[in-house]
Amino acid sequence: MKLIRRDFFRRLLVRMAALGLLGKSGNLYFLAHAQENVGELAEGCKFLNVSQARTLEAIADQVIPSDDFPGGKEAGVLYFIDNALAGWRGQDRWDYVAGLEGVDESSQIMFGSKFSDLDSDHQIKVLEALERGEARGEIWRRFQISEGRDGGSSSQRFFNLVIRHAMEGYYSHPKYGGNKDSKSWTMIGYVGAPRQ
Amino acid sequence: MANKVDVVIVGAGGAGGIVGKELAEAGMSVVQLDKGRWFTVSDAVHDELSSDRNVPRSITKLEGLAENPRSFRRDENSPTQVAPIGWNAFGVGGGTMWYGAAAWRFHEEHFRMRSTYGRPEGTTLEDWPLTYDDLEPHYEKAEYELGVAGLAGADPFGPPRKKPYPVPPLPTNPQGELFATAARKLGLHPFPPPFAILTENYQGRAGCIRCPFCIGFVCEVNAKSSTAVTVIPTAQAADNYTLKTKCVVDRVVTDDHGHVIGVSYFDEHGLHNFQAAHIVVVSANAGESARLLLNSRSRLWPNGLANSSDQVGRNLMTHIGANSYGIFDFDIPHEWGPGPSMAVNDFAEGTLGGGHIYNFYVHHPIRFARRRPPGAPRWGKAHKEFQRKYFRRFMHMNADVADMPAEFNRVEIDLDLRDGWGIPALRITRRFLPIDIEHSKFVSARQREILEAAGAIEIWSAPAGGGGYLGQHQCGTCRMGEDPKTSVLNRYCQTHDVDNLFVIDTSCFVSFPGHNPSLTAQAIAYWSSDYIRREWSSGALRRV
Ligand SMILES: Cc1cc2nc3c(=O)[nH]c(=O)nc-3n(C[C@H](O)[C@H](O)[C@H](O)COP(=O)(O)OP(=O)(O)OC[C@H]3O[C@@H](n4cnc5c(N)ncnc54)[C@H](O)[C@@H]3O)c2cc1C
Ligand code: SF4
Repeated sequence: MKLIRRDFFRRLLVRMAALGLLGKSGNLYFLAHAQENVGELAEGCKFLNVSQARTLEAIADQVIPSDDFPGGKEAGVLYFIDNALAGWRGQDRWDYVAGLEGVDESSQIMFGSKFSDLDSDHQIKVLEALERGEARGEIWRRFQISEGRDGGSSSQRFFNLVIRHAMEGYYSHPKYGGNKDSKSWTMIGYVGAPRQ
Repeated sequence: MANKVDVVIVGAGGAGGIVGKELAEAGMSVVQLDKGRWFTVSDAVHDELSSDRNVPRSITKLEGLAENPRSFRRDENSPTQVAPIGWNAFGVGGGTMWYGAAAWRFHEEHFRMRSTYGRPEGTTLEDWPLTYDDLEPHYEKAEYELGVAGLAGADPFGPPRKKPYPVPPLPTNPQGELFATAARKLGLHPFPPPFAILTENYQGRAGCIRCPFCIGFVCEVNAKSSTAVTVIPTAQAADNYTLKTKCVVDRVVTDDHGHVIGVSYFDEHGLHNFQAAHIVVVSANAGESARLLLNSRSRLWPNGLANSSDQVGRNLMTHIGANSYGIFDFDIPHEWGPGPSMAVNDFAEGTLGGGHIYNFYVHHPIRFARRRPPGAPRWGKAHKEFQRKYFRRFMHMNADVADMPAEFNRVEIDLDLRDGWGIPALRITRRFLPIDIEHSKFVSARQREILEAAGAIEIWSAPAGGGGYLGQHQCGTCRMGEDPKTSVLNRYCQTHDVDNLFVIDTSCFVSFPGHNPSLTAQAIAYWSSDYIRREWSSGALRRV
């Protein structure tokens, strides 16, 4: 497993270097606790802290807004992603830690508050800026979202990562936590439930 | 040191499984080593997220991605990236455990593409050193021993066959019906495609229950005719046959004369062992077989074992896909597996870059969330509405389109990258040629015509040559040929350089027509096994 460990440390170093320069946005903790997230764990979560969870949940609810069927928030997309980060998608953790911080920073720059505190129109504007790769902020400039992701700039890559995972959660088997009561399957008329 | 056996086979996959059974039946003592484990119906976790084919980095993954890194670059001038490229599964049955089970024969002209069409510039297109007629009885044997469903005579372009299929074809589903009607309107010739899937009881196995999770999944009822549920159990019944799983072969070992004397491998406990054998058969699939030869350098084989031609690892082909999509203003339910139930071969021959078109496997919601016409929103309210409105009103036409062999498309050893056992890993260099892109575009234009005739209200195609195809149909990396200077294997998959070394799997392909590879690799496995048993009984290939 030599390769994997080497790769992991290299990526960690890149992140630490990037985040070390970000002391002013309160991320110095990352240097000290490079292998663990900090802050108070969000309720029902295994990895994300309160602030990260709030931001992610608000993003998920824009990526899949609620109508007569649940949005990403109600369906549990946050818990799906958090659970994955705590386990089988552990390799994506630092992209989320930095990316969620980046989204809040861009929101501050564009509209003066954190993402979750913006009204819906402004949230959409922030996400559109991410999607186009035009979101501004130190974090996006300094932080390298992992190689091999789709998209050009860091903000675009992070956005692509989040929408992919949000869709996976929302439309996957309810046992993974992001598709509460199979509502999304009912919505589209999917009958591919397991037969076991 | 374990006892010397007549033959050791590296890999118990689609082709290797057949070689093991054939040689065991011939009375030879056989040890077969596979780096993976047995998969059973309990591995049939049936939801979209559990299959790596659907969701990169999925929960269960194709086995062993993490321990098997590979690196990739587009061409000589592009940066190399470490990429978890899942080239088939590691495990008993190999790719046939998970595959979509499309079971095509290649056509007569597909074995003589160079003499029919000439060699396009920049390619190494060549005729095969064997013909369709050579393989016909072996295709038949593969179809009968594995269990292939199909309808003989239904495809006017299909190659001649002597016997019907052993089991009838899968029933047509609503997408197939719509496709067939549209294709007929255009003067095309739709027919139910052949599958290595049982449709009724056959040789002690039951028929397909038409679950929606076929391609990329282990079959929950063993109706998918993988080698793990057919020939390998047959081989295991023989006393002279031993299958050892979780054994990773790192090297084919040679003597002072350059002949092979066995293989070394790491067993389940990480111990390094040696298995002596008179004959070594490498059936580890196109990437891994070339890797093993290249990693088996020695004083006599400084460029890799049996690589005096410098062709080991070159001429990598993968198919270039053609994918078109249509949405409709009426429902076309697509919930009965495996999903493809019509195909046309009208564009699969008579051209350099042909391919068969078929309606794709059952679609699932996560994948569908990424299927959007150009410019359509990828998220938000409109995305959700599209998902809701069109999930049941969607049809995907797929085609495997021939791609041309070229020397620069290749696998090599990446000296900076090692796998979980410390064995140097592969570096893949792969890009499509402009002519491949043209062929793919031609076929997707035909797909769009079919979708239009079917009444789709919006139609689009995936960009030609985009992602995807590195990871399933890899072949060509130890090509057969008559000339030892330009090929690695003779027509029996025996290396030109070392007479007691064989490579029997998709590596041997000389060119790659627009049909899935497995049945041809399996027919070749029967054909080459026949040759080995003949040679062996004549006393050749034995060393003291
Ligand atoms: C999702 C998917 C869908 C597919 N659908 C189709 C389809 O519909 N129709 C079709 O024809 N083809 C399909 N294919 C391709 C098909 O699976 C392969 O072409 C086929 O399995 C190739 O057979 P093979 O013998 O060359 O290699 P494999 O079947 O891959 O067997 C190689 C074996 O070697 C073992 N091995 C490798 N390295 C070592 C080592 N160092 N030591 C010991 N053992 C080793 C592996 O564990 C494996 O069991 C599909 C593939 C995938 C992944
Ligand atoms: S569609 Fe049939 S053959 Fe394929 S996995 Fe399901 S039951 Fe098995």
